[in-house]
Amino acid sequence: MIGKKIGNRYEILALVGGGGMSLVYQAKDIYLNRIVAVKVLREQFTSDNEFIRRFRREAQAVASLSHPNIVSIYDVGQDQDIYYLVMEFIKGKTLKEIINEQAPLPIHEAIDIAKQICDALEHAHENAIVHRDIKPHNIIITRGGRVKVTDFGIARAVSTATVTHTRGIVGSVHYISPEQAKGEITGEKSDIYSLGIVLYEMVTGKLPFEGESPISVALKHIQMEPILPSQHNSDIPASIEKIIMKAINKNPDSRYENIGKLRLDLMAALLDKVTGFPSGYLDNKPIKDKPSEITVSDDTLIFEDNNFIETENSVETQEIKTRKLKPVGYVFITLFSIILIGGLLWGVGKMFLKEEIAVPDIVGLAAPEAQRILAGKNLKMEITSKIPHSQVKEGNIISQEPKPNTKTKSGRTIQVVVSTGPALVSVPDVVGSSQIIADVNISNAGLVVGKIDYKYSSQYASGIVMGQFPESNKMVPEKSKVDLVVSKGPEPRNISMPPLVGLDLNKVEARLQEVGLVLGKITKQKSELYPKNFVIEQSPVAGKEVFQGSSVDLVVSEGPGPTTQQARVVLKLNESGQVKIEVRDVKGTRIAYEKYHQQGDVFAVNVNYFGQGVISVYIDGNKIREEVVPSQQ
Amino acid sequence: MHVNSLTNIGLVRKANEDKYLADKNRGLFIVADGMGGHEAGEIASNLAIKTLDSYLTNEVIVNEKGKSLWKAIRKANELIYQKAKLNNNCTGMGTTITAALFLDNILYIAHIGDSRAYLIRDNSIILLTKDHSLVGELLRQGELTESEASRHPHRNILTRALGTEPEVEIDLSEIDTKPGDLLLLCTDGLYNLVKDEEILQEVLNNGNDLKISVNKLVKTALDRGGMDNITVVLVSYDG
Repeated sequence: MIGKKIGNRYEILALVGGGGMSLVYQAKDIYLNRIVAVKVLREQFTSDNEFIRRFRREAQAVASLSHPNIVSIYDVGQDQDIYYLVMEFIKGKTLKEIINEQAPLPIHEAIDIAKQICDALEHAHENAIVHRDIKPHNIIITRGGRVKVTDFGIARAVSTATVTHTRGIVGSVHYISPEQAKGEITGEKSDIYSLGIVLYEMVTGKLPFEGESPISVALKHIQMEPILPSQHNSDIPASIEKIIMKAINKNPDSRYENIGKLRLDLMAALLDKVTGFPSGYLDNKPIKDKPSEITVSDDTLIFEDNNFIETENSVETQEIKTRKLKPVGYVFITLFSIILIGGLLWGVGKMFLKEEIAVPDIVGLAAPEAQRILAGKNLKMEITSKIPHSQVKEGNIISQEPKPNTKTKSGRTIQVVVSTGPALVSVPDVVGSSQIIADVNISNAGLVVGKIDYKYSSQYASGIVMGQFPESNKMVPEKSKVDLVVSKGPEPRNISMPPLVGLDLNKVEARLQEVGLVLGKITKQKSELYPKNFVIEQSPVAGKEVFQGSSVDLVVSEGPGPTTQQARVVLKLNESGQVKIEVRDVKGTRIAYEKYHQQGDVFAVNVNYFGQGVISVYIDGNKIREEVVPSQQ
Repeated sequence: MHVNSLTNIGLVRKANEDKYLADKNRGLFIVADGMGGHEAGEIASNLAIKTLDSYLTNEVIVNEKGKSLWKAIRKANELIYQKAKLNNNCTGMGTTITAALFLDNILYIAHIGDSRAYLIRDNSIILLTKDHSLVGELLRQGELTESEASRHPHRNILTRALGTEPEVEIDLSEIDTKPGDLLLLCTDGLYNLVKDEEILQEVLNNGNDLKISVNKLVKTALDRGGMDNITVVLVSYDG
């Protein structure tokens, strides 16, 4: 391969790496005169057209991504049997190498790497591309500390191919999500999980799940709770531990909602680290008490601003915001004062005038409202009595004296009668009575029947009132509505149609009643298979879901019933033993043959049965054969 | 005594190297499956049948009883061996032979090779002969199962045949007959494709109608590929 020119453009210079499905070469793009990486698919995949198709499609999708943290794909091509991807050539180490050399990594470094992975994933997820194979081997760190994520989406192409060819699980299972391990549909949340595992490994130097075989590791992802990172490394802040444990939750719904949320928590944790708050300090205090606090719990994500990290003094910004509200209070106070003073001036002016005035119409108004109006005309109000009234609301004026529009002098008193509202009556208890009786009792009480709901009840028979509103003995205004809930009887259920074929019609009726079904149409038919009055066919068939109360049609035998038939069972014994042949038919179960035979014996047994039967053959008690006779041909 | 027989070239072979004889008057029934290139197989099986047919006269049978079979087969062996030696295109030819003789309530069976004789009695089928073949040997030693044997690529290799050596060992057996017994002779073209229990089932299903049984057995073998010549002789013994 070295020295070869592929695609008439890329000159292969050196082998620089390789994985389960491909080899990576350093190459020179002779058109653009630059160094690129060329990833060549291993031969075993190139004969698989379906795989090639997916590989190209995925590669094209990933080529559309453009992000400083994603290894750029320049080209996808094929040169005879060689399928290749041309990518940005990155000088650096894989995160796996770094972990192997240095883990556990310093917290701030781990956070920084994880944050850049988040950036890459966020861009991909926004473009509907899920990585599916996030692991330290796919993450390259340049000398300048920039993270480059590679092998986007290729995992899908590979896993599909491997499923169809049962080549086993490709790549590492140490980073796969439980849903991936189970072979379920995977999405962004799987990337979050895998990143969580990577972060775990960065800060502890250990993998949460290890085992002897890929299968045992995969099972642990599904079943086992990981050891807390802090048990490996007590320097790990609680905030980071919390992030990891949330990201690697077994339930995708309990993980971060999206990669952006995970990044925010990482940033918060980094800030926490930089500002030197004691770890754990932030976790317990709710944000409302101290606006300057940053926590990592789910419901207090406060920094929605994506530029947050650039704003070093954003903590201060928050505090300024709370102070800004104060001047608004002063404005209110001022306005209120102006209104107050204005009102006073107006009232004082009025006091010095005495004149003949028309009595205002205050009937129907609420008493305080009426009093205000009267006061406005310099009149007084006196409540002479309070009486119930079916139309006028409680507290409203029923009548006034003097009548509206008559002349009076200011300072006089207007007498009013105020309603106590409609007369109150006691609601009768109608629960348990029939709907008609309830109606009568409600009318007798001066009430009316309101809305009627019909509901299923296992307690009340059909037509019986099972609930009322308002409830009994409550005092309500007369003519009020009483809503009722009336039982429709027990709720019908879907039940599995019982098997009736082969039963005597007499037994069928009892059986149907027992399960709540109704006997439908009965058709008589001659049958040599079933005795007279035995069910030949049923509709719906046994096992079908039916609604209780529905009917079942039957075809019933009118004779002559089953005749004796004979079946021949031919056996060849692979070992010696006691042979027993049993027959089951409309007449029951009986033994047709029982005899000891030697190994190698080949013999036939004639078995009599009625109508239709099942013949079972046992050797030393083990059933070796079962057949339905007459044979269904 | 009733008999029905059928031989069929099968669907693959270019010649029928199976030969049979069914003579209820003498109570003599024989199948032979020849082997050897370019018509030699046919010559061998034909010569074997002819020799037995002419040697086993009524007189000889009555006088020599079961031994007549043995003598006749030795004679056939000699003739075939000589002929193979003298004729270039007959070199290495040989044949199987399974001969049955009903005489005085005794059934004599003389046998070389991998054709078979079955006795069907009391709803059971019993194999009366041993296959003198590589596969038959492996099967008897428990090295193969029956289904492995029926698929074995070298199931046509014989360990013993008529006419390939100057002397030959002949399996000879005698069985007391009972009225209602059925005897079935066949070549491997049948039993490689139709199992013992299927043979039993088919023969019992058709009761006394030997012709239907024979036709159906041959048809079943043909339906399953008819890889070889197929020959069936079915005899019912009434006493």
